[in-house]
Amino acid sequence: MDSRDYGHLNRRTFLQVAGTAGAAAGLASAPGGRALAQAAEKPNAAEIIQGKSPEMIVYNAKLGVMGTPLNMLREHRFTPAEILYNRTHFPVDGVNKWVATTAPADRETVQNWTILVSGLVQRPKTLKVADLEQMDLVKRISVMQCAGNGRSYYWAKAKTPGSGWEHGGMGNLSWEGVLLKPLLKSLDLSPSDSVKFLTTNGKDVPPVKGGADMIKSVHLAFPQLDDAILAVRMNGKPIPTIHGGPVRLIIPGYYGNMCVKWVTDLMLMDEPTPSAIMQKTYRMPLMQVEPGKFTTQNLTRENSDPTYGFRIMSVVFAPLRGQTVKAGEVELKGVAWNDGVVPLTQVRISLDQGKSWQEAEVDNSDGPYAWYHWQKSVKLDPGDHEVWVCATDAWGRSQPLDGLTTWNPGGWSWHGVDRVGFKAA
Amino acid sequence: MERRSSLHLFVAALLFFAGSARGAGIQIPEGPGSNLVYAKCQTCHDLQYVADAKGLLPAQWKAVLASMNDYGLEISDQEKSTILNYLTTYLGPNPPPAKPEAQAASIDGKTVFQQSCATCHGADGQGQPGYFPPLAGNPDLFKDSLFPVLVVLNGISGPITVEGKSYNGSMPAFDHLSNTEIAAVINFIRDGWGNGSKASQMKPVAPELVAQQRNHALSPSEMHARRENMESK
Repeated sequence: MDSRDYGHLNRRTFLQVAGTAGAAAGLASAPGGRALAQAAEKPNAAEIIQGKSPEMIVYNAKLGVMGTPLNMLREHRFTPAEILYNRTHFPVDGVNKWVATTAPADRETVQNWTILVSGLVQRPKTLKVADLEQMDLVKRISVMQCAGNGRSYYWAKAKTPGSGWEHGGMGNLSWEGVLLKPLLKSLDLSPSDSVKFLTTNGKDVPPVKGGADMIKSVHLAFPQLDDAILAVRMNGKPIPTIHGGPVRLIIPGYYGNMCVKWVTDLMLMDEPTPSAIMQKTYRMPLMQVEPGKFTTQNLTRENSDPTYGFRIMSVVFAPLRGQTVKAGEVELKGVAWNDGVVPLTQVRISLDQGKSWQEAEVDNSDGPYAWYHWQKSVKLDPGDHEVWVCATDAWGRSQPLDGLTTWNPGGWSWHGVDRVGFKAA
Repeated sequence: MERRSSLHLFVAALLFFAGSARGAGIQIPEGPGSNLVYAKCQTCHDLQYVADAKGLLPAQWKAVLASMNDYGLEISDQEKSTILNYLTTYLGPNPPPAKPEAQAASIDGKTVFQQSCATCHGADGQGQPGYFPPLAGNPDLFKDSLFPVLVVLNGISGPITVEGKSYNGSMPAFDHLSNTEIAAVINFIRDGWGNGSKASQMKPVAPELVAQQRNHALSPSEMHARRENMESK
């Protein structure tokens, strides 16, 4: 089964919904009347990254940052490359222009691509991607999600810098690659006993001299690392270049920024990298903080955690926000996920602002790191309605009823109960 | 055969640049310092980030600017305070109503250069190896009287070779500058750093010339074609 059934929404509704999303995206970027006229001239996603759908919501053309409209995202069990969100950290129009395509790397690039495995080891080694492709590949079905996904919902409390993602900064993907830990072991590196972190760097380079590189460190002891792979395939094909091909570190259950694209260096280290992209951004404060009193400059190793695993989350895919559905039997649908360490145990929906809850049916046939698909049929009278959805896992972790309680200066890791207003007629 | 292969090259070049993004054309409210934001911030990202962050509190804007330092932004203390003043005033929680900006009394090419060009091309026009070509001694300034105007109005991205060295940075359009500012800065560059002897053989750029070119936007591929044409002259 490659697409989900949302057949009760007719094509006209889709177009209306898509139109609304487009208009909202245009408005969000328009600071004044003059800019509104300019918004029409913004390049579309297909002009920025070859092979992307022009329907994508562009958040930064120069950086190639784009999200997926929900009416498109929900149609696929595995999110196709053409509509998968993208976050790259350096301009896709200069030295890094080679990444701006969904096409895979050509044969010659793959043949010449090597990964240096080094760090606190006695015997550094070089891996060839062409060799990886010949090894035993394992499959990981996992959500890929930007740590900023949902950021715009925080703006109801206070603005944060960064792209105004709604829920389209994610996708559900099937990756294939070589299991990381056994691979490292097989290289006979003789690592120091002090090794605790894996630091990964990719081939992308900052657009100016002295700029912080996109380099990330993860704890080797965390459980998802046992499932991590050096991936060479996405959705059954060589990884699209924009999504990290020919080789990307996939740590299932981890936010996208930790799954380094275009891997060229793997380092076994005793400390995480000092790079600003590790130490000063993509971090969640450990306590509740207030706008203006605590800024991204106040984030430290002591008072914050890197955005490693996903916070538990659920999203409504049907009805879509603002949609009108036929009164009577209404099918509510959507997805839920967590960091994969323990399974989700329950997805509940509420139609009365959280006063009472009903359990939804859940399909988790794609495994612990994938979207769990939930659905619930309800009888609705004509009028305005609002559905809330909340997931819980086996460790009792759940979503805050008010997502604004985790407001943080970078706008990371939104995981509030999704609240979707719609009409029945 | 030779003709055919050069056609191939031409087609390949067109295909390569066909996918290049146009300038995002994001505008920010005009105010003291807005030109500096256009000049400094678009090397790494377009201004949608800046426009979308409208409403940040002063402490947050200060933090944003500090973090940009980590990502490679190089500005003087004075530029930093001008930018911060602009962001907190015009893109803060209580921006003033938009009003037309009073024209500056006199426009001086050196000031425009320092504000808009020096970050990438260097205070002495020396450029940055691999990223941004030098302006000191750059023959592109003198082959075609119009070309520098087109570069400022349209930007240029994708690999170019200047005096045997290759550069692959990306210059945004600087079309937020006025015709007078663009004319002044090109005349300043054409006169500076030993360029002067060649400049004396060319007519100075007049604001009217800039105005004529403003409404004919060129795509990155058209800019490269124009440059190639000029090289072969």
